Amino acid sequence: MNSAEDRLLAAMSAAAEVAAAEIPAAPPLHLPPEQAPGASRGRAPRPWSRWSRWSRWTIPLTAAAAMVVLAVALVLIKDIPNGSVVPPNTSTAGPGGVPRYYVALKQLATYTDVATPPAGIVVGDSLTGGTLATFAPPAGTTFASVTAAADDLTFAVFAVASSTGSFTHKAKTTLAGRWYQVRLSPGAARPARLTLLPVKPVILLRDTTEEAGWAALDASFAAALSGSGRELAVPEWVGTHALAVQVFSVATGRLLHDWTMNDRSLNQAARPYLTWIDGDRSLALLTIRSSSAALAVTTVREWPDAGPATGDLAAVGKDVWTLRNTPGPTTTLQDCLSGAPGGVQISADGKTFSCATSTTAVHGGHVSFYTFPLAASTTVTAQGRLDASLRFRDNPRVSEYLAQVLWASPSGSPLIGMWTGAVAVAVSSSGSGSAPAAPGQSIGVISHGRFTPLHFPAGFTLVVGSGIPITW
Amino acid sequence: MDYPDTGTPPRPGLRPRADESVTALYAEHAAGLIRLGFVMLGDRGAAEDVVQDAFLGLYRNWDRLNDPAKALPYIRSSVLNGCRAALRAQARRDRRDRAAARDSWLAFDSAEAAVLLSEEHREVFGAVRKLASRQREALLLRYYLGLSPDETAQVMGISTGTVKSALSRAIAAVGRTLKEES
Repeated sequence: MNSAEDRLLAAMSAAAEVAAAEIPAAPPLHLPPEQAPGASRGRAPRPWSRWSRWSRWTIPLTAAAAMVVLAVALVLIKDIPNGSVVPPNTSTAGPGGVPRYYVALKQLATYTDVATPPAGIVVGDSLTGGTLATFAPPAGTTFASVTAAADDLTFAVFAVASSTGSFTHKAKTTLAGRWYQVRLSPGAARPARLTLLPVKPVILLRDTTEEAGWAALDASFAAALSGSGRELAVPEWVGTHALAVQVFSVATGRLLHDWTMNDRSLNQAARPYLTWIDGDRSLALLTIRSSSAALAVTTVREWPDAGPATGDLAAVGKDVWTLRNTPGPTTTLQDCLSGAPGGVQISADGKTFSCATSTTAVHGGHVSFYTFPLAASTTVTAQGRLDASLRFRDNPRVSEYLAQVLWASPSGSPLIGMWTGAVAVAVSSSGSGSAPAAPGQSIGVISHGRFTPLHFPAGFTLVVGSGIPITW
Repeated sequence: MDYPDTGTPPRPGLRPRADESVTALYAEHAAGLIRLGFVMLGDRGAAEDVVQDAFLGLYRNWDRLNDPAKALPYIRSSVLNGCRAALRAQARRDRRDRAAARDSWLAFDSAEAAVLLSEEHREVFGAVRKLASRQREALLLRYYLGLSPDETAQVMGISTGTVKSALSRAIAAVGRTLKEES
């Protein structure tokens, strides 16, 4: 347990004492007479107020004004020279056949009162541990999510600009996002190049609430570059219960497809997950319905990247897998789906998905990585394939262990995964199958029951959050 | 908004009466939930209203609750949602009257608080107040109520992974603030 956590626990304990002193007991409960079974109490519709009528006009006007400001700011980042550090090895594959080049966010975008520096990106070689390039965001902008094509050379990063330059949740600001391409040329004098993509900007937050910002940023993590790198699929919340999936041409920025899913059980707090199947052939969207984790219904819907430009997602493709949470103790699969902050990784052949579980107990911790068939036969009690399992000795500095699958090969094996203990400290150099002694973090290849660490620059730390801040 | 599990209601007569069950639950948990609301809202009366409304909602929806074991998570979610609504209303009032604006989270100013709280505690509370609301809520449910990450997730209506990451980031942010201010 770290000192901040100790201080929090002590302060919360003191708060409980104060609250107990102020409120020694509850007042009596007043219940109305028992009503007939099934009787409902309707609520009168709320009339539109004068303010709400005006607000419907002012929101688009404010957004338009903010877009002008943001367009000026974003054009400054059109083609930023990078600081090349180490010429890369030109070998094409990393250990175990996994891709070797990665793009990672230096930190996750957050909305707090605490000033955190905007996140840049680092382009690295996980075979040698070298850094190919780093890109700092321009003023008022932070990089927020990353996605990769299948060639290990083409990446897309999402950058968010604030109209005020502030990312604190109490600031009055409008957030807009744009996409950039990171293109690698191993062995060249300039091994990585960052270029603004012609895809239209996305307004994430119109001076509304921080929760809307969270949902929008969470959704940006689900964006996916197609296998060829020619198309970019972007999920976007277009209403409280409406999710759109738009596909853009990377070369021209043209909107190729715009599908929408309207469903009252869709929950913005549950981030969707989007992946391309068989290169550029079709898309798979994982959504979690219902507002309660205990009652969640997880669905993977697959549909071809073809047909009319617009459409209803409910009418194209089919649900290839549905899992309905059941009451009672959770199963391995339920833990796997709900326990990983980054969610799941669906293999590019569309046949499997991989995820991780973690437990923390007084005697230590335990993380496991699993792969399951993406098929109707995978029910809530499925055991899946255990890809690797790590046990950690008791460590008082660790309050929680987290594990994530960061990348899955097209066939579902091998995987790249990460474990981290408590608040990440640094990349561990000894995260093998044996139990590491100190809290920290390790990213490695998972194959045949083994976890083999990949290589990263000294001090490299991946911040654990609601999305995956690294991709290969 | 969190909803009770709606399935086929059990046959009448096979489950406890709503008034008895809700009253028993209230007797056991109401004081703790009012204290939770008080910690968030800084107002005893407002906290009592939120908790009363939550239990009333449970009572009205009792027939739709197909598993009585879910009553407590449901009531915790209702209290959390009620507090969120009260905080939104408070924020609207604060925008109209900026001079009176205050962050009510962990803002104790009673004589009891003066005795029980140290400067150290108030520094930590100040750091918590700088967090986003989701992080504050996760911290409060985990460290104040002592719920597990799974229970916290159920109350907040988000995944356990999101709770863990929110906690991890919140603790890091609190540590950073305390370090900056020391």
